[in-house]
Amino acid sequence: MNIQEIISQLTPIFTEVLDVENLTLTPQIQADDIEEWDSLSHIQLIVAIEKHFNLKFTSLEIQGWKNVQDICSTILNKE
Amino acid sequence: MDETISLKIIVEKIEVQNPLHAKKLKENIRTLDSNYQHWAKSFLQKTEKFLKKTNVSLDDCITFYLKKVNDSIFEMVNFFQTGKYRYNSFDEVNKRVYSDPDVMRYNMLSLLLSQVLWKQHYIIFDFFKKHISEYVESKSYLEIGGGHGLFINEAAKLFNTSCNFELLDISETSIEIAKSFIDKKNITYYHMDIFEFSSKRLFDFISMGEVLEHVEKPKDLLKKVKSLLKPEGVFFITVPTNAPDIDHIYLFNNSEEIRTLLKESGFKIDYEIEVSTEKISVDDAHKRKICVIYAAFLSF
Repeated sequence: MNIQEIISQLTPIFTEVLDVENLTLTPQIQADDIEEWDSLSHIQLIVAIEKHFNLKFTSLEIQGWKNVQDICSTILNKE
Repeated sequence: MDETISLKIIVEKIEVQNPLHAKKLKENIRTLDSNYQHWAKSFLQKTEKFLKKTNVSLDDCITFYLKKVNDSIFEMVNFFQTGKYRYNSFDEVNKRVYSDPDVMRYNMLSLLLSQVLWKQHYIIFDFFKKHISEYVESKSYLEIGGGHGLFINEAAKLFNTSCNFELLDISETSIEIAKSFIDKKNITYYHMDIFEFSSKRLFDFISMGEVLEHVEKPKDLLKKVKSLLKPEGVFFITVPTNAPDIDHIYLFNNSEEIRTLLKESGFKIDYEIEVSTEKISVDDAHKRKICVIYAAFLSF
């Protein structure tokens, strides 16, 4: 997978968890860009992403996430 | 030091490393009233002195705090997936957390910042301050699990000077931090497990903040507290529900479970408060298994 393929899989996850329609994810998007992306929905996002990609993030991995790019990079590194 | 700017600086420094968390903090601070701003100003002044005294830089303190935030997220993910806390053995947590100076140091210093940054911590402390003035005539005060010592420090400022203050904590590191933070000098400190503590005389006031979730049998702990309290004594307690953490082992699913346990243990609720840790109602938080902090002043 590449970043774009991961983003295309993350988009429906973000759409469902954040309950936002017509969401266009880009690598640079961060929580400040989406009102519904808050501390609570962030945890729900992690749970949903782990389930979808069938993986478990470590504490250290989630610590560095600042934007969509960081999430994608972590998923890529776990392949 | 301009304390308002310092609060701003802290959030700005956090934003560089964790923009999502900074977003939550900004909302927290925005929703709190002017009393909070006033209190935060004095708290940050005290914190700055404490950090200088203990040779900890603000940047280090923020690093500890963000590690705590991340640990909490990591534990919440596991909690949402399993419905359980990751740990359930006191011995294991005691060895891994309370007896490890490095872990306790980061834990205590991060909690110090959370006291001024987390809405729920401020509201609970404000509740404590609001009612504590009714008990200023107390002659003896015991704090169980004193943490950094903020609550006992406040009581020591308000209570009669004749009141005897004692603080007990299972962590030596926590006691050392409390000694540096608390203004009052003549406080008796005990480094021990509460279940091993005995006293020839009973106490007028006992305070125990966020300890009940750290033990395997909370009813036994409440029984111990009752045995240390005078018949006319007062007990202040705070307990979080649905709060996975590196050292929480007993899960309370909602405030009612706490109330029931307190009543079964022979306590009467005089005042109580529940605070949701997220921007949802307490009922919604319970339903969604999100942390709510319960606090109460109790008597027999």
